[in-house]
Amino acid sequence: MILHTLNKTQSNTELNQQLLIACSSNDSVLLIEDGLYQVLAPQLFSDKKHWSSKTSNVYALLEDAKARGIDFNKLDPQLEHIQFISYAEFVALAAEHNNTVSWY
Amino acid sequence: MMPSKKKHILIVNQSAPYSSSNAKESLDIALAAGAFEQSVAILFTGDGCYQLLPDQSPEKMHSKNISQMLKVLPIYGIDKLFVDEQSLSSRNIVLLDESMTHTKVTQLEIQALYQEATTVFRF
Repeated sequence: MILHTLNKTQSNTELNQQLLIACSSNDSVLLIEDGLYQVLAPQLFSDKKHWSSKTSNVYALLEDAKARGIDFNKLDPQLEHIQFISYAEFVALAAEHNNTVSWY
Repeated sequence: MMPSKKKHILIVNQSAPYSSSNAKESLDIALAAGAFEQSVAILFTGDGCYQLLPDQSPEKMHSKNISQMLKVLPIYGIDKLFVDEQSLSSRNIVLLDESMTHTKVTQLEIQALYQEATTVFRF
């Protein structure tokens, strides 16, 4: 059970593909920094070649969303499963998983 | 007296606002060039389009608000802001900060921007 943190947009195609390969169904992905911009494009999350096809445990760091002008209340209903979390919850999430992998 | 050689500077922003200093540095160049009354055009393309999202609040991360800084550009005589419409649609960006005036451009118009420029800076 791995916590993957991703801090890049979808335009970093190789990085996103590598995460797709590495991720398993009981892993979690936490979007941080520029990774947050991916939630603006709901079509990604129905694409089988996107890492989100591997796991539905998706989290996003609330502070980074706010900084970038991303309003989690206005997301596509298809993305309702994404949980927006605080820094404290990030720490708890890291502790819950066996390992953490940074994708950057 | 020599005829004045006015430069046509094109600044291309292809980076998201807060993960690198690119956005900030491109603004520094734009403001400096504007202060010397050069002709400056700014193109937002790729992830650079994210600089134009409304309601950014990076203050808690101790970053300056890029969108607030972009708003001062007209004071420096820089009013040619262009946005790559293809980049917007591929990123599903529907709402831009309307307090800035920008023109959406096609790939053909982007090519013209590069061809007309005497100097191009990419960030």
